[in-house]
Amino acid sequence: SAHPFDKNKAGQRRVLVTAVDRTDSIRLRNERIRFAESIAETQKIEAINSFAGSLAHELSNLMQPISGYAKLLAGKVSDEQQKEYLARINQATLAAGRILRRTLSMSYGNSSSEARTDISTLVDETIQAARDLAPDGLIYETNLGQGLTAACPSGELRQVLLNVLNNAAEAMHYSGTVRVSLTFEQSPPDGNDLLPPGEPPFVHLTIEDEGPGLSPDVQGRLFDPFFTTKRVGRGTGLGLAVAQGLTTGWGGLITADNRTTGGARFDIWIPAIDG
Amino acid sequence: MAKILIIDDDAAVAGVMAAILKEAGHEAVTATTEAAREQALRAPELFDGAIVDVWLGKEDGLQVAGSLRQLSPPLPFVIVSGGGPGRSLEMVTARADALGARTMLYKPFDNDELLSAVEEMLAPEDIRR
Repeated sequence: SAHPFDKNKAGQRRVLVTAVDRTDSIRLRNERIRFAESIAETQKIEAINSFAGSLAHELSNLMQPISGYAKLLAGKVSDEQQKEYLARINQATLAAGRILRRTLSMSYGNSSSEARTDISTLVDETIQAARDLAPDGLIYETNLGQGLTAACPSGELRQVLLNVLNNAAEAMHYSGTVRVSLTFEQSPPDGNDLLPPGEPPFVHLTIEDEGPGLSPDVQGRLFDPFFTTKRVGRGTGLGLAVAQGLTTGWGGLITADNRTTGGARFDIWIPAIDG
Repeated sequence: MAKILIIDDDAAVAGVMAAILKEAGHEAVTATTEAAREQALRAPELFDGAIVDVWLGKEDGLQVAGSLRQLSPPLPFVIVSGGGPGRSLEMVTARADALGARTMLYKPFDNDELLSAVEEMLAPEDIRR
């Protein structure tokens, strides 16, 4: 910046010029972006490794009874045993099928449907449907704005929303208030280790519940495939992993945290389409 | 014929292993939870050996196997694994070896593989390996 002074007694013009060397701060900013990108990449690789291990574990546990009972059936078995073994083979095969279908929906880049959704309307409709199904004690409060457009396919967005809403309702034992809000934001989220891979502006979706919140152990593993706190048979542990896979695929970000007043909050940023 | 403790948190897998062992004339007890395992291990002398899954949900099966080795007399065991997040099979095998597992089985394994692993586990020390 330059600041002119009055002429001095000798009639000379004086100007104060201030120059700030921003090289370092720009370099730091660029390094921070590169760092965030490399963390995102590392996390992606870690997630794939972890996912491969989990998938192998789940499927091998399902294949074991199939091969074991098939071989036992080849020997001498009673009618009752035969029925039981066949039923177990059937159950294991169907369970493997469910895992495979959810795995497919978790893979990124499914761009077959148009990546443009009137998110205000879609969230409103989804909550309406959830209200219809909710027991009396479960209340949904919304603040959704109007006409916000998100750059993602509507089917995928509905799935992410349902997965997060289901978790909220279960965490609260279907009693209490779930708050859902939508805002338009020009800048990427502040104060997170990770930045969304996509460019601003973003639509910011917040879902807050009144459940017990997230213990540090749960918070660290929440988005891991096959991680579940639900009873055996109730959850596959893929809901939030699917939500994270889809959100990242849109260039967005999903985070989970505890509210200061108790309960958990999920924040989802999705690249917005302006106008 | 031997009495085998099956430690696997997956009830379907524990169930089929029990069926295979019973069909071969062994006795099998399954423990799919920590509580059931502790209950069973209050009288470890009732068992001739154990089958331990590496991945027991929150617990580390290899640690459980290590604790069987600390018993007196130690309870011999076979390790079974089907993979899990963040672990390579090589890592698991190396640790299972270090813990003195007689055999390591990778799911899905054949019924005969399970039975011969159990036979090997039960064989007297001098003819092992």
